[in-house]
This record gives sequence, structure tokens and C-alpha cells, in this order.
Amino acid sequence: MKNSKKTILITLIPAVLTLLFITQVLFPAIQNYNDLRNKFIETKNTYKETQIRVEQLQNNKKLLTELAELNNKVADFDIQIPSEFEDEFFLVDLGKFSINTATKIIALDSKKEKAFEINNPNGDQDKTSKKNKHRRKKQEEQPVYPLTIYEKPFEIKTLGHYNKIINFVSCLENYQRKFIINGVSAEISKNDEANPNPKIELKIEGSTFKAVKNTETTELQEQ
Amino acid sequence: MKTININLIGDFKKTSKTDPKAKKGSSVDARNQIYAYILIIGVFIVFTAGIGGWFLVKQMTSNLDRKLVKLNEKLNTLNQQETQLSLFRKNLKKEKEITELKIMIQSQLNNTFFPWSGVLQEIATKIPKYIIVLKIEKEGKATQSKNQNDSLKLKISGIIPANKKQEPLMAISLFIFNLNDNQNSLLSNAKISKLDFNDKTKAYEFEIETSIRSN
Repeated sequence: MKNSKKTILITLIPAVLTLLFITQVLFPAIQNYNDLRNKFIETKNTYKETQIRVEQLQNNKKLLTELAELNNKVADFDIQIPSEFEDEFFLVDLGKFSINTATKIIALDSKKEKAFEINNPNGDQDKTSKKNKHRRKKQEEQPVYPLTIYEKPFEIKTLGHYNKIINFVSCLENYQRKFIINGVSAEISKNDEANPNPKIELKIEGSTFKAVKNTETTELQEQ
Repeated sequence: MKTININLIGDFKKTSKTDPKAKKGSSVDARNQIYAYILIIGVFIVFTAGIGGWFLVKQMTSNLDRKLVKLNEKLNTLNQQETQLSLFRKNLKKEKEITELKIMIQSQLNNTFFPWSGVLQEIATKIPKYIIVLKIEKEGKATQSKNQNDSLKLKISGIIPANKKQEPLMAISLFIFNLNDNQNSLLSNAKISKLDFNDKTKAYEFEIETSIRSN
């Protein structure tokens, strides 16, 4: 009887050891595998999502085409509105116009530059009364654009025969730089009043512009 | 357990009697032996299967691990690519925004453009003979909005000698008529604002106000 008990007890040892093996080695291994599998599935999903996003991002052709079309429209913007007023070139060009049109520039008065208000056509909805209040509010709420335009007013007095003066004005209108004429005033030159074909003194009020990139805005947008 | 019978009188009988209890005990042993065998075999099978399963799981884990490492590498590359592409896209968008703003500014400035040379030319073609224009003056302020441009006016001052063959008032009237005649012209709504006869110069001094059409 004792022997048989011994035998059973001895046979139980491998059973216990097997049980230990199953609980301590096999089950954790399976658990580890399952965890790894879940992680793998998760990573695979992330990969797929990222791949879709990358494919979408790679599809920048449309944006590039749009940009190219837009750039074509403003190809001469930097010439029309440079980043600096470049008065030295402006004066040279005025001199050329004056020579070409047989007129004489008798005075040039430049005024202080000021910021040019950009009117967004999409934001013109509040055009009602209480203008002053709204204007003040509007100034406060003026969106910060990546570009700021500055305007430099000029007053140019030129002397010449009427048709020549028209040519001079025409030159300014067709100038490669943006020169907006706000108004003109003409009168017969006082020194030439007796002349049957007198010279005209023409006062032209106009402005040149410069475009300055707002680095702060860009940085803020990036943030 | 064995009992030995010693018969000192009779024949020697070599008989042995087994104790029923002992007999019973030997049968329990055999059964236990079978149980033990079954248990050992069962344990062996389970253990072998366990080992096999463990190896299999280990193998699968190691395969999956390798795949995961590769996938992570791919994901990292993809992430880098995504970062670069999003930066590129961001730059494109920024550039687009600037370009759109440029277009807006350009159109706004173009709206303020007014062909002054055309106005001066128009005046030149519409002045009747004998009228001498002394001054062309802008009144009002040109603004950026098209509608407000209507408020821009020109004051044309001039003289006409009274001793000429043509009637001075007729000539001034003709000048106003010419200015108002063509509805597509740049100048419109011309009206006389002042008319004086200067006795010293024997000439009529006049002032005509005219509106400038914005389009």
C-alpha cells in the first residue's frame, strides 16, 4: 500500500511540473504573443492611415497647378509693387518720360508713406450706418495679411504743351511700376500767358507702392 | 503476508494460504500501477504538447517581432515622408495665400485707376474754337472704391474774348454740350458754375463743373 502511494506521488511530480510549465511558461508565451499581435495590428492600422495621408499629401499636383495659374496672374506684381519704394529709379524713369514727351518736371514733392488699406471683397458685408463706430471696430479687427502695402504720395509738377503733357500723363499711366494718379490740375504757365500756344503747368497727384512681407504673421501662422 | 502451517503429525503439506486482506491489497497495487501509467502517459502527452505549443508560440512570436520591426521601420520612413510633405504643402498653401492676396491688391489698385490722359484728351477735343482753357482743377478726392469715384469732379476755368465773331455764350454752351453729348465719354454732367464779363480784358471768364465717370 505504501509503495503504491509512493508510486502515485512520484507520478504526480511530473504532472505538477507540467502544470507549472503550462502556467509559468506556455501561458505567458501565449499572452506575449497575443500582446505582440495586438501591437502589430495597431501598428499596421497606423501604417495604413499614415499611408493614406501620405498619398493625399503626395497629391499636391492640383495645388501646384492652382498656384502656377495664380502666379501667372501676378507675374508682374513684384515689378509693379516692389519691396522698396526705390525712389532713385523712379526719378530716373520720370526723367526719361520727361525727355521722351518733351516736357519739363518743375517740381516734385514726396509725402510721408502710409499703409494702404487692403479691402477684402469677401468681408464687405457691414456697409450700414454707424460708420465711424464700425470703422474704428473694423480697424481694430483688420485681419493681419502676410503682405503689407505702403503708399507713397507724390505731387509732380510738369511743364509742357498740352498734347505733350497728355503724353507725359499717359507714360505715368503705363509705367511698369504701379503709379496711381489720384488727380490732375492744369493751368496755363504764368510765364507763357501771352503765347498763342502757351505751355501748360500740370500738377499730378499720384502714389507709388511697395509690398512688405510680414514675417511676424508668417511665424504666427506657422506656430 | 504468508502463513506457514507446520504439521508435525500428518503429511507434510506444502500448502500456503494467502491472507484475504493481503490478496485484496495486491489487487489495489495493480490498479494503482495502471493509474500511475495512465497518469505518466497523460502527463507526458500534455508536457510534449505543451513544449510543442511553446516552441510554436515562440516561433510565431519571433516571426511577428521581426515583422513588427520591419513595419516600424516602414512607418518611421512614412512618418518622415509625411512630415516633409506636410511642410511642403504648408509652404504651398502659404504661397497660395500670398499670391491670392497679391491678386486682390492688384485688382483693388486697378479699380482705382482712372485714365487721366483720356480726360485731358477729351477736353482737348471738345473745346470749341476761341475758348481758352486756363485751368483744369480736380475737386473732391479719388478713393479706392469705384462708387465713390463718382464724387470726383473737374473744374474747368477759361476765358473767351467777347470781340470775336462767334458769340461767347454760344461757344461756352457748345463746350458744355460737347462734354455732355457722349454718354460713353469720361466726362459727364457738365454745368456752368460761374460766368463773369471782365471789362478790362473784354472777355468772359467762366467756370464749368463736370463729373468724372468711373467706368
